[in-house]
Amino acid sequence: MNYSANDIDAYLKGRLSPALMHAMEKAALDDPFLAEAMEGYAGMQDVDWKTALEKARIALQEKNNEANIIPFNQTKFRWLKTAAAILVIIAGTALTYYLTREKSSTIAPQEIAQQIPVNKTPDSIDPSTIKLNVPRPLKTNDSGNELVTVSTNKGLKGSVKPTQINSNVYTITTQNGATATATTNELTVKQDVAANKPVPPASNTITPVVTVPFPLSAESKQIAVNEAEQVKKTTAYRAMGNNKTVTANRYFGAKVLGPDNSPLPFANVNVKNENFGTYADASGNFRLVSADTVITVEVKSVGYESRTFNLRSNTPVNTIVLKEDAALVKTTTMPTNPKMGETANRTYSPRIRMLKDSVYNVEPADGWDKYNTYIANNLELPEMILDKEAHGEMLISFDVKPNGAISNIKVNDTDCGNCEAIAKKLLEKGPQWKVKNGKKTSAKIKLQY
Amino acid sequence: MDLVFGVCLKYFKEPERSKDAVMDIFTELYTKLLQHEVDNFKGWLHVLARNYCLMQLRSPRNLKTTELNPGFMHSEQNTHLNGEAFEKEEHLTQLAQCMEGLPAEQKQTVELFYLQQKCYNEIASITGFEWNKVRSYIQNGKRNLKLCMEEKQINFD
Repeated sequence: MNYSANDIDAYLKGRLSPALMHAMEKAALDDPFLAEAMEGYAGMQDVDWKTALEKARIALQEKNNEANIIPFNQTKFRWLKTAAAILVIIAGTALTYYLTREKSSTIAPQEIAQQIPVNKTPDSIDPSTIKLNVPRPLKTNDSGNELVTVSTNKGLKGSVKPTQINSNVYTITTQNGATATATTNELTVKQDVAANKPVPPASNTITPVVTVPFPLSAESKQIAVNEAEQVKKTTAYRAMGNNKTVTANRYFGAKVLGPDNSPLPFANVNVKNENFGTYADASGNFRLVSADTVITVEVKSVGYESRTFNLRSNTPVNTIVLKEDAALVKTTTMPTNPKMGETANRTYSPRIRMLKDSVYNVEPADGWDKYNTYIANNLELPEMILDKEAHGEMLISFDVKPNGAISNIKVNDTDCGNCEAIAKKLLEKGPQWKVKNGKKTSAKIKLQY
Repeated sequence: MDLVFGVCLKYFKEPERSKDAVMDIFTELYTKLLQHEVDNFKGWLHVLARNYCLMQLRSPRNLKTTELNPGFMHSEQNTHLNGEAFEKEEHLTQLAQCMEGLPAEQKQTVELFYLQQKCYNEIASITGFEWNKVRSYIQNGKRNLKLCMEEKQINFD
């Protein structure tokens, strides 16, 4: 509480009650400012200071009124500048939105206008091209081709190939009213080519289902199709490969440990029902998402017994402890001779190491040991090699940018036919690399299996 | 503003000069506030005012004041003990112990002031101590109690 000059005057002149005096004294003990001011007034009790104080008060008031105007130049100006900058940014984004929306908003009126006069019959042959989005990863056959079968219920026209190499977008030509289906080993993606639902004249909204009654301009078709794809894509991903629509997302957290409770980095994790694979991070942690409340996973790590485990979404961290594989203790990590008569316990522990003629500027962010564990756990050698228990090596060269991004993966010097794709998948999906001295580096590693 | 005026009165002993000083101090205040971040405004203002007055006294022609480091200000607000209900019992017993350790006059005046809420005049008439002495005993007593409690806290932790 702030005491005024009058309060202090009253105190000094003995006009306050003891209780009020006590209160002011207590305040002065805590506030040296008040204490000193009281001393000041106390020393001037015989002098008239009230007039001077009043003059000061009035002068300050006037100054205050002035002051309200002056700071405008300094501080408020700054606010204006920032406000102006923000407005420019908002205007810029609004403009870009406008420009991109322009196109889609012109579809609706066109569609409506065209729907009404003509009633298209499903049997009319009106070719329309659609794109099917098939989520990755895809399994490949022996020759390295990704196994996707695309069909429709009304006949396919033209070729069916991925629109680009290594893409997941398939372009097909078929009739209106058809349903296009892409099947891989893991999932089925369906898409309606034309719903043929009559659009109510009053409605102005763009429905997610593709309605392409007339051959509209390729652009507007594409945009309408993309919207349908988006819906399908999200549902497909959410269900981890299933084609069902998902109502809830449940999160599963887990940690893989060895028998001594130490984390097992880069343990391989396979979700049984979905045939979906991932791997734990450098600390043995991994997370999964699903609509179900329980996910069954199989967890593997080299040197340990694999284990099937039921993850529960209501458990914050599902702890998966693996036991050491007694049978593997005997096996060396670098088998040079394929042992005859060995059982199906495949004990490949592929090793990678940098070639001496590479620049020692690149290394895995979590270290070579852990990266080797990752490879040992997650390398998916082609059936051919696994069946024959063949051993060999391959040279993988790739570029690493300073931000850790990997590009230009090439495989040379190997007798494994399909290994390029495998190496790419392994490196691209694997743990991060890091560049030591900030320059983009080409690295060569030798992978022995 | 009244407090600033009062402080100036203490140093200048002249109302007119004090009035001019108040005006100057407030002008300085605006510019200084734009430059510095001030946590404890009241304390900072006090120091600002006092410095101005002292500078004025030293050489009336030299109107510069020293740069204040606001962080240097001792924040009076934090002399109170952390009163968690759980530890309150502990604190009260410690406080009682510390009181016993005070010199007699300090103990008496502190009791009369804080525990019985008496004002200085009353305490002066009760104890017979002079008014200034009363104030001095209370201030010193308060400081000693604070030191004693701090010591006990350190030993306790």
